[in-house]
Amino acid sequence: MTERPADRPATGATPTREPLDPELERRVAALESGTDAGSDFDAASWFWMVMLGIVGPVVLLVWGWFG
Amino acid sequence: MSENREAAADTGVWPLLRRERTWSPWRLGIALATAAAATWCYLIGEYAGYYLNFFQGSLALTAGSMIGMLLVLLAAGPICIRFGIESVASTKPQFGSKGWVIPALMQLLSIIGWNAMLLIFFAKALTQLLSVLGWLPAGLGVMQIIPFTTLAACAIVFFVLLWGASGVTHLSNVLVAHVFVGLWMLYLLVSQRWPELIAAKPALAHPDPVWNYTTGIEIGICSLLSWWAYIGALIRMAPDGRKIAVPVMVGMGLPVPLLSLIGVAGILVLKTSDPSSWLRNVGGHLYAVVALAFVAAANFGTAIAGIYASAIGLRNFRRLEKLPWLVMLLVTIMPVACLGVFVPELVFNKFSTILALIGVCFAPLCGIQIADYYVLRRRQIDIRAIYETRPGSRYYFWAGFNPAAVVALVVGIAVYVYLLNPLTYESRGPYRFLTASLPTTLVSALVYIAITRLIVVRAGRGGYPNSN
Repeated sequence: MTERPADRPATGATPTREPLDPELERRVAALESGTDAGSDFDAASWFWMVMLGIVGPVVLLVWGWFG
Repeated sequence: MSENREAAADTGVWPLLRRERTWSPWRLGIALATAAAATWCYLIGEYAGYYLNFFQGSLALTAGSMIGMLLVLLAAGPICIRFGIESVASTKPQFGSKGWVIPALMQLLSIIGWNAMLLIFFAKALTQLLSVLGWLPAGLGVMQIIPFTTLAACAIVFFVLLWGASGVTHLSNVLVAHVFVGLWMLYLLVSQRWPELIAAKPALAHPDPVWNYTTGIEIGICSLLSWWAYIGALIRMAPDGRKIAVPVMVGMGLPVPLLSLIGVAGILVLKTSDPSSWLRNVGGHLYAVVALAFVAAANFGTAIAGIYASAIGLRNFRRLEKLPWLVMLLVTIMPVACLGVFVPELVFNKFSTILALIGVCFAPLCGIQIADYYVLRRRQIDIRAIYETRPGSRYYFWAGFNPAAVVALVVGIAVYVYLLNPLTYESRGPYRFLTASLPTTLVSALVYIAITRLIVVRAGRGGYPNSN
């Protein structure tokens, strides 16, 4: 999902890259290439987040109020 | 040379690469659980126990905590886990290449406040432990020795964190046992005092039962929103966003309400939430030692995670970016130590204010981050722009600040304070049905979206997908 620099939408930004510290540049380049980036939440993550963060709390609240 | 750089990467603020992010879901869950479980749980439980009975208090706190955890995970989680950065750096796409100092200050104040309190708790427990064991030097009272034990606690935190993130995880593997000790203490109280516990009436219950229930939920949400400051520095050590949802929700979200039940039960039955006060009555000398050791260990684990997160967050300031880790730790620990040594009682007595300020500040921040990532940027983040600071760079906005984020934050704070005065707990309008944190999060998100679409995108600022 990481955008490559070439895919950047036009924003009116200066076209030249700002020089970064060499070590930071190495890290940013590795992340931009996509190989060193982590992944976003997948369907299973969303399932657990919805269950534990929305469905579960709603069930607990209903139980606490009417139980 | 490269190996040295990578070995030190976890003490810096620059993004971690996938191969440097070595924590498995289990390891992450243990580190998060150790960080989450601390003495604040009793205080959180105590506040809920003022308004709700044990049954309703338990369920409202648990539900609120899980909702709060979800908000934090949705806000800071995706950017931190994708790019291996911590919470403050994740706010640059919203607040701008200079505006991130606003969330950075919020993080700093929150962590200093919490950790000063935790280390004072640690010092108190250690001092009481010495007293119970008869090892306290003759002629010295508890209050006289607390500054020294606070300094000792700060020194231990300092030495553990010299190892960076591995210091956090090695200690977590040992200290996680305190979560089970806490559950054992809860079992003791519940099993021995069940009839009283079920019959106990909350001391400060409002005449309106809906208000009481909502306040229990709000306390849970507010408490967990404070994890925004910690979460980035810890989850960035895991390599994969697909495997962090359960460790975060269960490891960080669940221990707080579970251990808060000790506080709810304690305040309802024994009129004190601190187990080191009542466990001696229940089980004598041995149980008192166990309780005090538990309190000390619990706070220690959280303080270490907090100081680590704060030190990494401070690295976003360019002057501190390349400071030796040892000096960075001293800079971070010093304010905590000063508060603990010079004004320990002031910090201790202002717990509810700290909790309130966290809800006031972090609820709008979560709304802004969620709206920006999921609605406006459609999950597209430019990692290079996060580190670019020149005018014209993508996240420069105007003079380095994004007015949409600043206005949304201010509006969110105003909404929260209107709905619930965080200092007096006086409430207005829809609070009794909606809580204060949830509408605040929503309103901040809507204001942020509106201003961004009407002004920021049209001006071609911020690098949004449909900018001119």
